[in-house]
Amino acid sequence: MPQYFTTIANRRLCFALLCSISSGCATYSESFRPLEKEIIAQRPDKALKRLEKSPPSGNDRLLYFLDKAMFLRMMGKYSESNQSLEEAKKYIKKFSPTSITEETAAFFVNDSTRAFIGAPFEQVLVHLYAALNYLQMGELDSARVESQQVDIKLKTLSQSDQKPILIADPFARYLTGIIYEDLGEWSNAMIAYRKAYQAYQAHGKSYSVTIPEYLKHDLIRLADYEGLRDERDRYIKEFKISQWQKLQTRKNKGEIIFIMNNGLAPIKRQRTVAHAAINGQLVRVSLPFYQKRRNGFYTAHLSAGNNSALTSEVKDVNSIADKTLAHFMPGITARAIARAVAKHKVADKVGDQNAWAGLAMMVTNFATEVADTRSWLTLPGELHLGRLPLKPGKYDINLELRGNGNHILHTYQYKDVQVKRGAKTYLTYHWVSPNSLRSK
Amino acid sequence: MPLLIRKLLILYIGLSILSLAGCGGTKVARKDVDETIDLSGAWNDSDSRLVSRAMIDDMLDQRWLRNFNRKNKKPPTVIVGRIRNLSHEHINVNTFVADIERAMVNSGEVDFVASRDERGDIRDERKDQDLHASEKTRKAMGQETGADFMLKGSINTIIDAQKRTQVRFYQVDLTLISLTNNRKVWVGQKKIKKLVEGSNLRY
Repeated sequence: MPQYFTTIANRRLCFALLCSISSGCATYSESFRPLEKEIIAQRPDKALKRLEKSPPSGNDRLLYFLDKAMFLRMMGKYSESNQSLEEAKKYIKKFSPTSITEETAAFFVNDSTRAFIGAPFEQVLVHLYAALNYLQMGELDSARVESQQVDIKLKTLSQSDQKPILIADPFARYLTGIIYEDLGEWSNAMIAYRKAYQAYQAHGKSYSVTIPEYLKHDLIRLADYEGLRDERDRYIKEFKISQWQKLQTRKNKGEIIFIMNNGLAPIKRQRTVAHAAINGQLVRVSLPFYQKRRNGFYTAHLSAGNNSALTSEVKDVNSIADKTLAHFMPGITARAIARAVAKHKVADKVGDQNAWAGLAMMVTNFATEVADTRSWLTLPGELHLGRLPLKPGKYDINLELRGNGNHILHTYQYKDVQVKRGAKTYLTYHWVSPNSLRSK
Repeated sequence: MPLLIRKLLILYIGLSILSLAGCGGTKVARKDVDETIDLSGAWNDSDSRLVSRAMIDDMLDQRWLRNFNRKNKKPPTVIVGRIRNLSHEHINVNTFVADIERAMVNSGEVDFVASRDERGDIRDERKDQDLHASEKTRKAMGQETGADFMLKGSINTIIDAQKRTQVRFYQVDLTLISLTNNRKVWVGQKKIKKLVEGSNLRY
């Protein structure tokens, strides 16, 4: 046993020293708090300025591209947002292959030494937000490109060792269907809606999000138009829907497609699960866990004159993030334990040769053992969708966000929104409740 | 030196060398514009140039052109309409259209009129001339050449992917449509197939 731990006094001294060192090592998620406050105050421009002041770099660079893109989106700078998302895509592609040096460093230091490339659901959301940006710029063909890229991404992910439920992305499929429908590619829209329906069915077994009411009507409408009578009747029976609009009727109208981002995605924190003394040495195993943030509203109500629509939840980022981390947790835990054992052995051997060198190594080992808490923190906790068919014309669209007791939490008005015959107009909004800083 | 410390030292030096291997300043080498350089496997300038040249060569070699010349005693006037990007890549369709226009104009076999987007500027200039240019140099309204045919098309892709290996199949379809009677006088197609193999490992 190394000499520096032979007395109780020395142990206490070392423990105090290590605790003071480790408390100074802030994780990524902790450094995000000032940006979060700016988002809540609806000041994405200031949040972006703060981000630009100390941008995540090196292995965390992807976070810079992702957060920057979201802030630019919130500011209505869709084209610039997409430039940042394109940078994010390039980064993910470049750093997806396993790195020998990073894996070695991760074994000896911590998991944060690996380049952050995002969880599978985050990688899919890069395309989804790029598509939304294009839709809001009126660039339908470019949005179509993004939906094609989502399809390839989902196919590639399905060939990996991920659980199917982690990579089934019903909303990505649903949005693809909406894009095809807007382009008048009815067969493709039908296929995409069908895939969304199947994915929501699978999703319902693991998540609270069920098949949105809008999708049920879309399936019936498109199946009818495509002449798939058996399929149409099956949907009518299954969804118990007696009244639905034919596509020909819809063609004479325009439609508002409203996508509401509710709150912020859960934040990863670290939990130090072992702080034990082995052979007189202190070791530390830190693991990440997700902490949910309070999402703001319960229902979102959209209205234009006498026409109104309620939104449906289409994506539960909170639960998907949680399940994804749970899937990777055995690997993360195994690596953390192996690292703790390796660090302990090395410090022990070095300490045998030189007590001070051993102490220095133990202090370094202790301080560097932090959990990888990196995640795309500007994502919403939930995504809601509303579809509001309207006659062609100019409208003021009112948005009301309501709480659990149906009381109004927040209102917003879109002025002079142009609705064109046979076309869709895309609107999005991101609202973060002031309560979101209080964890659930 | 104890064996363990020596091993750690070797590992540290090894890792340092590996991490330094990627260092170095930016290098620039000028290349001929006709040279094909494939980096990511995505649609690039070579694809745009080669496809446009091959398709226009094919278009000008077909019977519709001889028929038109014989009947009208003048070269046909063509306008480029919408060429849609239906692929999985954000292809700059404008570059492709510019390549097509260049190939057509340089052939000398067809006359070419400005597209819908370009016309706006020209008409504004003509209006401006009406006010400010001298009588002699002023260009009158209503003298534009109407196109006989419109060229429309699309760029499609089919991707077959297995982990980091992809087979990318590009298909470019162009159609020349008579503005008189909507007849399709020429349909051209060009295909490109690429095998893109990505690495599973990096330093």
